[in-house]
Amino acid sequence: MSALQDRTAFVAGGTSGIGLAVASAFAAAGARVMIGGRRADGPDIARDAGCAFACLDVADEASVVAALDEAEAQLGPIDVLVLNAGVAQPPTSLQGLEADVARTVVDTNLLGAFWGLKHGPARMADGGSIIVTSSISAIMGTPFEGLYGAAKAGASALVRSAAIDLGARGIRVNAVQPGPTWTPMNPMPERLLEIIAPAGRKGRVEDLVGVYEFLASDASRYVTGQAITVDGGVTIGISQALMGVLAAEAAA
Amino acid sequence: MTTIVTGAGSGIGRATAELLLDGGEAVVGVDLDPERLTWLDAHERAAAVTGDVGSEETNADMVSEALWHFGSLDALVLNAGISHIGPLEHTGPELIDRILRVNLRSVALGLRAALPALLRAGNPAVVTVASISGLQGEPAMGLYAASKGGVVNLTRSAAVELGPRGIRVNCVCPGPTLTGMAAPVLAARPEIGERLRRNVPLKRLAQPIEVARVIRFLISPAASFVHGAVVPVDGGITANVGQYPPPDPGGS
Repeated sequence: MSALQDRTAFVAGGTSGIGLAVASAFAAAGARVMIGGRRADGPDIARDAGCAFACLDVADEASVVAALDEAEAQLGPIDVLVLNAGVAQPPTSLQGLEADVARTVVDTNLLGAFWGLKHGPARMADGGSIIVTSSISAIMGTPFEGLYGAAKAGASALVRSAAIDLGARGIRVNAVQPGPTWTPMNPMPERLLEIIAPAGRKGRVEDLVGVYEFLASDASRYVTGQAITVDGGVTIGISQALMGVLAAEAAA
Repeated sequence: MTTIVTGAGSGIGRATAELLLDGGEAVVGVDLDPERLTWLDAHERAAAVTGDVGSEETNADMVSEALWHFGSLDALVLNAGISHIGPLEHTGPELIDRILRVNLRSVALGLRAALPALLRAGNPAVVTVASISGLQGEPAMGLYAASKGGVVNLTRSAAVELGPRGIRVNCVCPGPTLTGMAAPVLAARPEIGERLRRNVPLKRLAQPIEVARVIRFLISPAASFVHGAVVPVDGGITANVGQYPPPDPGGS
């Protein structure tokens, strides 16, 4: 039997990318899954993935409460809560970031996780698992997405505090910190993704799914308050390939 | 798949070896004490190597055994270690050498010895077993903590070096775990166990199998882009700054 058979899961931000891949994998593993998202075609996407759907805007506390209520009503107590909704920051220096865009980045990436952590546990079973999608930008400075990194650092910090708060109920709270991951929407050149990671290849969405399954399952039942970095080693050192390119350039 | 597990005679090492054998995989178990490896006799796909992991000879032997019995070496779990409790002024040169030899030198020698065989494997992975004592300071465990801190950072350097050659390298950092290493202390001083339990947000100590499952995840394809990661398996201890103890069930 699969580790997620008959578990209930709610995936906030599940209509594309990592969230959709995770929701699909959970459903395929026998979990009963509801996706929360903003897109108009969300119900179709969810149905194709074998999941239910609820309208959700994580930047809006009332919307988070309503979606979680719907999940509990339809699925019963939630075993696995994935807080994955996020928005990218338009690449710009700190000086160039407009106020309304700045608020959107914080409202979605930091407060979005906060509303889920505030209202999710009351609708969860003891012993459940909460997984927050953070980013390696939480632990590493990056050019042109300073506030995104700050919001994600806040999300990783919330995870630690929530893990302490919820430990007595046996609810585990962890973050996943993906590194640069190749998707058709990623603006980073594919060649750069190939040389930046010490793992020697570019990261893919499929590389992340197994980590969410691990954190959702009993295989990680003593792991809480942690951020699992899934970056092919980007945050631990400079890859030999990148060093080679830089050395060749410097010598030229 | 064939995995070498050092320190397979007890605790986390034995739990890991059992988990892999139960999954139908082949295991070479290594321990200093041959008596502790007799449990492997009941398993067809297991081989035992007795020796000191701080010696080149034992490390060469374990790799030869894997290749001789099972034809390949796919994963390496460098788990063997000793603990030592005592203030620095009572930790003399011989003890210092012994702790570093068993806990740190063994990891470097293990990586060196296994490298040629791992490079020929399809999807090779290494997991080192450090400790949360390797992440922060600890009273009366200075040399142990230093040796484990060395393991953490050796893992990162190995990840940067070996990633481009296709070998994933990660580290687990167990917190308080109910192993043979901890049993005598907990039996003699039950109040230590109670104090440890209070400091853990999940309000209990780990069973060795709970660490073993994380090790199995890290060597599995589910962790395909997890590389150079340091994963605490500590019930949330390191999520807490430590100024306040985590709440008790029903507490505020």
